[in-house]
Amino acid sequence: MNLLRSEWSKLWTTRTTWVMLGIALLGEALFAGLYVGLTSLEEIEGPVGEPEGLETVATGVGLLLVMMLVLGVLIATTEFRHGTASSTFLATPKRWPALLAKLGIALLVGVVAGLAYVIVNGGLAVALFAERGGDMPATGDLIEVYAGVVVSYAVICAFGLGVGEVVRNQVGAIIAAIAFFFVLSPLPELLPGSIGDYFPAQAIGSLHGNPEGDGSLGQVSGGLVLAAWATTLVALGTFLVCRRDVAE
Amino acid sequence: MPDLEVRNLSKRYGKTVAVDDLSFSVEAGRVTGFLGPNGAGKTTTMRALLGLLRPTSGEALVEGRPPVEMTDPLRTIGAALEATAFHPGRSGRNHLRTLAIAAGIPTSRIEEVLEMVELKGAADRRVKGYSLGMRQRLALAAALLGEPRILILDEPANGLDPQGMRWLRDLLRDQAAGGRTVLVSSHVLSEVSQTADELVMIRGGKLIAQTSLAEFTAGGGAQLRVRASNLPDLVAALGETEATVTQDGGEVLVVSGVAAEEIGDLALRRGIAIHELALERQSLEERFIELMGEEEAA
Repeated sequence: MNLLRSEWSKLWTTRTTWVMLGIALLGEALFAGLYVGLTSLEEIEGPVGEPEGLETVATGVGLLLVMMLVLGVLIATTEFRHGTASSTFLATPKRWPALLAKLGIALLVGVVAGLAYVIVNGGLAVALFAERGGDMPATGDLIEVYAGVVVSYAVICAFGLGVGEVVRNQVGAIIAAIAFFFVLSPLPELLPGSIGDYFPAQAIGSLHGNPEGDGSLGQVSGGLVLAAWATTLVALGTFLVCRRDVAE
Repeated sequence: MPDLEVRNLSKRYGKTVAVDDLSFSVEAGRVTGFLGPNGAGKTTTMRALLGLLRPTSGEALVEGRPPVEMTDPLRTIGAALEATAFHPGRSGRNHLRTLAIAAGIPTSRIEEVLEMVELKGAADRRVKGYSLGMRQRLALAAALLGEPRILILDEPANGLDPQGMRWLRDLLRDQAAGGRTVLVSSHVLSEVSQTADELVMIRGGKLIAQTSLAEFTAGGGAQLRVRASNLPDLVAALGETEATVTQDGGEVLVVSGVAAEEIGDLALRRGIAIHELALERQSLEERFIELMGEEEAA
């Protein structure tokens, strides 16, 4: 519990976290406002009049998703970059409890960001849509979509943490995480069969409830696939950090 | 049981040997100076004692056990490793807060250590704007946070002004007087010669000497400077003793290996008038450099 509080305080006592979340939320709000405000209702509601469009708006989550991935990387690598890892591991010589606390914080901050997203973007999109007299989707559907978004932020932040622990170099880890998530992992979609569904990019689509293409996993399975990736990376990262020397 | 002990410690990075079969121990209640030129392996040894790196072979022990087994680490060891290991965007007080929270140390202790290191005024500023001396003080504050039984400080005097050095010396003396174990590294002997009771000297990752400061001082090649009315006769007389004699510029003899009294008695018996008989103690720094240099030659 002490370690969790310590990591939490580390996260919020630098400006980076505030700036990143602020920019991302502002961006999301702008996106929701512009999209719902300017696009024709028919286009948002979809051709058959089903309000899938709003769900698409609600999951227009790209910016925050990238930010949460990067924030996860930063939670791990900032300590190596500035040498504070030494202090941290002096207080927890076994190291893994501190890393476990970091995982907890990554998940927590993902949930916080997700809730902020639901309030800012979701609230704005739904309000605007209703204001314009759009055909509202069922509340249950919206909740499912939003729950998917919250979970995805938490898991992708943990994913970033794992990459950061494995790579350690801050810039290298950010590039690796983004390249893997957004460039490499969508590639297997091009392969025949459903193998692509088991890579993060598709899994997150499933989790958001807006699968592209056929044969995609359901929301829960998508979430589990994503969680499996994150767990594997964090486990590998924890193993490596516990073994390796803390050089600086 | 010594509080800190290094047993046949070796650490290799690829082909580079940072620490080579090093053994020494550090006792409580005194300040131990850990000396060696840059790159001698001081920091590597200290990091091994803190459990931050894994020895290639041998072991580093804290109170008889490997450092990773410490149950209450910040109350056992406080360490100040390098003055740059802070997040530049975090304030000094918040840096201490994260550590205090992690170790379950009451936050009131933060104010105490800030007071001790005289950093209260700057505590809410971001570390980015700190001078090197202020960073050293913050690192020390972090080390003192848990009121640890053992202090490990890596070059804490770097960047301190003369006042700061004096303050640091007093602090270390106080800590040792309170029964704590203090290991403090430096590449300059004069930084620790007024504080340390014990010296551990290493070079190239190997132990050169472990000695008390008193022994080290006494062992310094004491030399006698002699001027006399009849130098050749005196040289001949000294030739019959254990003395080593060198003639410095014709007028002065530099003699070692015999006591001043012996030279005086000898001169009296031969009817030689002594014009000058002075003890020249080689400075500690010279002796230190010589000791370090000898190893290099070997």
